Amino acid sequence: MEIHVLVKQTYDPNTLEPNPKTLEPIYERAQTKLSDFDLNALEEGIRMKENFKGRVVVISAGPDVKPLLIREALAMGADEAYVVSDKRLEHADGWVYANVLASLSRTVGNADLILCGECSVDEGGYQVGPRVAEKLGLPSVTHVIRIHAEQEGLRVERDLEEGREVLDVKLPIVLTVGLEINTPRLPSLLMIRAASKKPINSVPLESLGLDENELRPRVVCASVRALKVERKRVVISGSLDEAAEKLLSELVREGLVRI
Amino acid sequence: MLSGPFRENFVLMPEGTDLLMYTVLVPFAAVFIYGVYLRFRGYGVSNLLRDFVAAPRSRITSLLRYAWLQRKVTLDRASGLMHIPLMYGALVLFIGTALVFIDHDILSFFNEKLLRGPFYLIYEVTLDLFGLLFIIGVSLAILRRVRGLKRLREKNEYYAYLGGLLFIGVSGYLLEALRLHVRPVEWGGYSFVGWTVAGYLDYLPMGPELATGIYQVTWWAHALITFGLVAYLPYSNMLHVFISPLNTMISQIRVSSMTTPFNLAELPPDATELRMGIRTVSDLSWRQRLSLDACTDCGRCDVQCPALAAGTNLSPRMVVQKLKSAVWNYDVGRTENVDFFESGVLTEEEIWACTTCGACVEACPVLIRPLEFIIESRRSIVMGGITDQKITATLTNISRYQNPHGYPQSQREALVRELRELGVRTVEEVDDFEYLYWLGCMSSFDPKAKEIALRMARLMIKAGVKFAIMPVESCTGDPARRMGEEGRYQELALSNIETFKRYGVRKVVTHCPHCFNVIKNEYAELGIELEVVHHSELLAELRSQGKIKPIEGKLTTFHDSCYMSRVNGVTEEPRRALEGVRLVEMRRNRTNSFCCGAGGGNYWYEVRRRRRESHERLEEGLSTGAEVMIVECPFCLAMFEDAARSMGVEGKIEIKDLSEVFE
Ligand code: SF4
Ligand code: SF4
Repeated sequence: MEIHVLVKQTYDPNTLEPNPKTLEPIYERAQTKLSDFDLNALEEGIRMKENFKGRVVVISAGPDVKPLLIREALAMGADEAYVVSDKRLEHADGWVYANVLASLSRTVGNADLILCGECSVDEGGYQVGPRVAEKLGLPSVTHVIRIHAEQEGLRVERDLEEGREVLDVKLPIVLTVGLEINTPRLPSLLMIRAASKKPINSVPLESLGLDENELRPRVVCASVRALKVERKRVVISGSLDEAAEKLLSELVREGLVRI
Repeated sequence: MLSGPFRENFVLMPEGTDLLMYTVLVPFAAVFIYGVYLRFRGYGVSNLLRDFVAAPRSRITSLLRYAWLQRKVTLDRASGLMHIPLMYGALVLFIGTALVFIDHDILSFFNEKLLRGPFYLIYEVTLDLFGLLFIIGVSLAILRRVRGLKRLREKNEYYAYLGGLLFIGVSGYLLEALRLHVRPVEWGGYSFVGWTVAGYLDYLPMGPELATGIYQVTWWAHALITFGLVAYLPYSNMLHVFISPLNTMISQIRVSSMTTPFNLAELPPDATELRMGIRTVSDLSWRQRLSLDACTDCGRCDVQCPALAAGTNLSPRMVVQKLKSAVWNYDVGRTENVDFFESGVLTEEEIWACTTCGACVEACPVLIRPLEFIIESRRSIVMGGITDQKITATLTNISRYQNPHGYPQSQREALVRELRELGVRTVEEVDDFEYLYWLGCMSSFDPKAKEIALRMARLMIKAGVKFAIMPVESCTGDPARRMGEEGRYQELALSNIETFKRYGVRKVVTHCPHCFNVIKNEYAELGIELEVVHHSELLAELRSQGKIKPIEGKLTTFHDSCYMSRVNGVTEEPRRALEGVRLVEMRRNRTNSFCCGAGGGNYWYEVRRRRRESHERLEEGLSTGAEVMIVECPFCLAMFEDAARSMGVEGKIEIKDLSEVFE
C-alpha cells in the first residue's frame, strides 16, 4: 500500500507571544514544529504500513520547510519525503496549499491512501484535506478517529458532534484525522540522526505546472492580534453581607446576572 | 593401630558404604556441575578473571567487606543475626566434611591420618559449635517466614530448602549422639552437643542393634538430602551462595552511576547500527547476567522502594527476578531471544514508575543495582519510539523548549530581570565571578522555586560571594537521561559544556540536587570537570564562617533529597547549616531517606498508583511533631507543598527550602 501523508510545518503556538504594544505575534522569536494533527496522520500511516506492508511518503509544502523537521517525520518511520519549499507560499491559504500538495502527490504517484490532519494547529482552517481530494478527483472522509482494514477497502469511524458515523470506503481515498486517533510516537535523537539516510526530495514549485490562479490565495489575512482581556479591578469592601449585596448589584448592573 | 583420639570414618556402617555412597553421589554431582556450567557459561569465566586481574586489590577489599563481613546484610540487624550464623555455620560444616573426605579417601592411601590428636579434638569442638550456630541460623530463617515477614516471598522452594537444611543440622547431631551411644570413646566429651544428646539416649530402652539400625537410616537420609540440596543449588535462589560474593567483587558501588553507551560528539551523524538498553536476553552484559543470578529474593529493595509503596506496578525485586528467569529460560532453550516487553517479562508501566531514587541499590545486601536494569529498559523503550502521551510530551518539551515543563523562555527572563534588580550579573557581563549560580528549570518556572533563587542570591550577595548567572539556561539534560533518552541528554549536555567553557566557568553552585549530580558527576565524561557545590554545602560553609545565621524557633525536621544523600553522600552539610535550629529526625533519614516521588521524570508524567510517595513521607514528617519540614530540592518542595494542600495539613506543617531558614 502506498500511503501519502500531508504534513505541515507550523509555528508552535506555545512560543508565540504578542508584542505588548501592537499585540501582533512576534514571529521571529517563535519556534516551528510539525502540526500536531499531521503527526497523528503520520502515526496512523506508519501503523498501517507496519501491519500491511507498503510505503509511507511524507508530502510537505511551505515557505521555508526545515529539513530537520522533515527528518523527524522520517525518523518516526516514513520512507521518503517530497518537499516544496518556496518563499511564494508565504501567504498561501488552504486553496493554494491544496493545489500544491495535490500536484505534489500526483507527481509522486500511485497513492492508495492520502492521510492528513483535519486541520493545522496554527490556522485551523479544515480546508486542505477535502480540497486535495477534490483536486485529485478522489472521495474523502473528514474527522476520522479510527481506521480498520477490511477485505476490500477500509472501515472508518468519524467523530461528529451528534455521534459516531461508521463508513465502509474503497481506496484510493483521502482521510483527515483528529487528535483522538492515536498518540504519535516520539523518535529518539538517535533515530532522528539515523533518518538522515532517508531521501528528502526537494521539488521546485515551477515543476508542478500550477497556474497563476492556482497559486493566488483566496483568503487574505488582514492582521493577527492577541486578545487582550482588561480586568475591571473593582474592590468591594464591607461586612460579608454588605459585600455580597454590593457584588450582586454590580453584577446586575453589568448585565451578567438577572434577578 | 592408632593411639589417642582420632576420627573413625564410616563407623557403624556396613563394609563398602563408602563406595556405595560415591556411586549414589555421581548423578547428584552431575546435576550440580551441569547447573554451575550453565550459569558460568553465561558470564564467561575469562570475563570474570579479566575483571579480577584489572583491580585485584579493590575486588578483594570489596569481597571482604560485603561477603565476609556482611556489611550490607547487617544493616538490617535481624537479617544479620539470622544470616551470619547460618552462613558461617554452613561454611564450617562444609569444611569439616571436606576434611573427612581428605582424611578418608586421600590420606588413607598414604597411610596418613589428619583427624587425630589435638587437631582432631579442636575439630570436634569447632564443628559442634558451628553446627549449633547453623541450626540457630536456619531456625531463625524459618521463624521469620512462619511469622510472616512481609518482604519474604512465599515459595515452596524456600520452605523445602530451609527444611532440608534444618534436617541436615539436626540429623548431624543425632548421628553423632547415636555413634557415641553405641561406641563411646574416651574423647567423646569434645563433641559436646552429641555427647549431651547421647547421655539422654542412654535412658531410652534401645539396644545397640536398634540404635545401629536408626543410625544407618539417618545416615543415608542425611547424605541423600545433602546431595539433593547441593544438586538443586544452581537451579534455585540458593545459587546466591556462589554468585553473590562474585557480584560484590564486580559491582560498582556508586548508587546512581550510569553507563554511557556512546559519545554523541564522536558518533557518525547517521549511525544506524546502534543498540542501546536492554530489550532481549542477548542485550545483557555478562556483568548484568551475573548480577541477576546473585539475587537472593530477599525483598530488601522492595521495602525501600517508594514506587512500590505508592502502589504502582513496580517492584525492583520482581524486575530482577523476572529478568533472572528470562535469562535462565533462554539459556536452557525454553524460550527464544524474545522482546521483554512483547513477551510480557516486563511492562512499560512498571519501568516508567521508577523515580530513580536509588533506594533499591542502597538496600541490596549483595550490591545488585535494580535501578540499572530499569534505566537500561527505558533506554530500549526510547530507542523504539515512545508512545505514551505524557512521557512523549515531557521529552518533546525538553527538546523543543529546553525545559521539561514546556514553558517558554520568556518566563525565565522575568526571573533574570528580578535578579538583576538585586544586582546580579550574567557571566557575559562580568569575568571575576567565582561561582556560576545555575538556577535550574524549576526556579525559572515555578513561583516557589523562584523565591529560592532570589533568596540565595540575596544571601550570597550579603556574604560577599562572587557569582554570576547564565544569560540563558537550557536543561542540563538530566531528566532526559533518567528517562532513557541518552541522545537528547548528550545533545543538551554538550551544548552546556561548550557554554561553560566559553565563559570560563570553573565552579558551579546550584540549589537543585539533580542539576548538581549531573553537572558534577556526569558531565565529566563528556569533557568538563567542574567543582560543583550544592546550596546546602555553601550555606553550611557561610554559616560556619558566621556570615549568615539561621532563624531559630519552631521544631523542624529535615528531608534528605535522594540525589544529595544516597547518590552523593551529602548528609551532614545541611544539618551543619541548621545547627542551632531545633531539629528532630524522621525515622528514615540520611542515605535511608524516602523519595518524594518526583525523580526520574515522574514529576511530569504519572503512572497508575494507589497513593502518593509524598503523602507517605509527609505523614512521616508530621509524626515527628515538627512544625516545619525543610527540604533541599525544588522538586521536593513542590511535591510536599502539594501533598500538604491535598492532605489538608497546611496549617500544621510548613514546607520550606533550606535557604528560607536564613536571612
Ligand atoms: S530507584 Fe527507587 S523507585 Fe526505582 S526501583 Fe529503585 S527503589 Fe524503586
Ligand atoms: S535485588 Fe538485592 S535487595 Fe532486591 S531481592 Fe534481590 S538480593 Fe534482595
